[in-house]
Amino acid sequence: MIEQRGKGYEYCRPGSWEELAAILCKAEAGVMFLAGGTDLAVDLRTGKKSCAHLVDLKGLTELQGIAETAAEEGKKGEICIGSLTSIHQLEINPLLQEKAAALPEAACQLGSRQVRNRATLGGNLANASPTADTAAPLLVLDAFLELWSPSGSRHIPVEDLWQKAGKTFLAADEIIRQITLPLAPGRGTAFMKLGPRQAMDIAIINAAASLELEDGRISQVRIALGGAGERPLRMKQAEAFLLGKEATAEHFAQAGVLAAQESSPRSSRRASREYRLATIPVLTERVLLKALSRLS
Amino acid sequence: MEHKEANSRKIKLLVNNVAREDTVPVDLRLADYLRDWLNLKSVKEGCGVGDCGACTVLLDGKAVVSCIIMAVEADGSSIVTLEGLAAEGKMSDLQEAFLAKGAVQCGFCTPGMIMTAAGLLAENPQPTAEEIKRAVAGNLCRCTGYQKIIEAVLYTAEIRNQKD
Repeated sequence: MIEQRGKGYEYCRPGSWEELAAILCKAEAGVMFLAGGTDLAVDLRTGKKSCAHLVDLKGLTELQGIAETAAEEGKKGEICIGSLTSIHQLEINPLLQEKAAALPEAACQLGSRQVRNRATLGGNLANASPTADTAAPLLVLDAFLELWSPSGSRHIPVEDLWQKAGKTFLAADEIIRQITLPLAPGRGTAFMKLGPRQAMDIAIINAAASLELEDGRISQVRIALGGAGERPLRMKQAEAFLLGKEATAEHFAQAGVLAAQESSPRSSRRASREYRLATIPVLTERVLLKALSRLS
Repeated sequence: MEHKEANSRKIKLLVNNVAREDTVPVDLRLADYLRDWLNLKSVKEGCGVGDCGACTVLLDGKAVVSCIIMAVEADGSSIVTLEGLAAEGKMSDLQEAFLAKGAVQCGFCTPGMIMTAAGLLAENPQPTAEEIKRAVAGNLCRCTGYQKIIEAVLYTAEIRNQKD
């Protein structure tokens, strides 16, 4: 049984942006944001994390939801996801299933049903785990984030969110407000995860890929891996190798070898560095084949 | 390190359809609020870190693990525990199915299993065995009696389907 520690924070649940801004301007330091809390609640209790002010974002109901903006002349269509949308909502959303399959595919493999009902997309990203299941799909979907703080909002590619394990580039008073996925109609995307159990596990490594073909050759490709470094990473050498080539299993296997070369996994209690390096080529090849199978 | 007393906050919520108003410490877990404050003993603490599912309850109709949610976070919501499934002392069809199919061994995981199944059936009235397995992946049965549990949920769906 875990001993109860980490007491002594103030809790608030602002219901509007004005209220949130006022709280953040008044609080001097030690602010922590609470979304689904599936990781943070445990960390606060064990004392792994502590804060002076726990700011629950669930009062901002507009942070939940998934909506499509149709393509217009000169502008691609996109899907906008509020940062507090639950992982379960991603899993069952028909729009995402049809147009960004890698994301619901990852969502349905994250944690347990109870955790997916509670955990949020923004929370999974801001938690900055190198194996966050939603990270690799967002990298291959070219997602960008709208960040908000009392001093204004800004947009960044999802790739620029993470520094290292557990650490983002978000300012102390900054939150993720929205995740935007630009739509690409001719694209096939996929996600795969390696772990000892088929459910409930944190990945040893996970992988996502997106592919587009033109006249039988690869005209666009994205590969992203979790667990291959201290943050979720795009495998840009492997991508460059595949560009313009035919989409064959042999080329995908070669791309997998390149992906292992540009990875720098660490050893953890879940798996050794060597095991990760040995499995990265296999998972990379398989996820590319799966993305290819979704093209036709 | 100074050990400051936790702050308190007033919460209003529905628990098993009864309106409640309590002032709770901000770090009181929902599981402890339900079990210790409201005496709802079906809510069990197994692991305390959200992995075993023994403390599963429905929050606004969705199965959640109440050991990793603070009571203050449930302010304004509706909670159903196993006690809430048995209206006026009569067990629900799902509970009856667990008995009929012998899906109860030591019983520790049973309330959580039933609440997860209740959440699943509300969303998907005709789940396949595979979907049930996936749904209860976060509920650990230390007696390993999973097969009977899956049968009980399938049986409930079947009975409900015959009635429609």
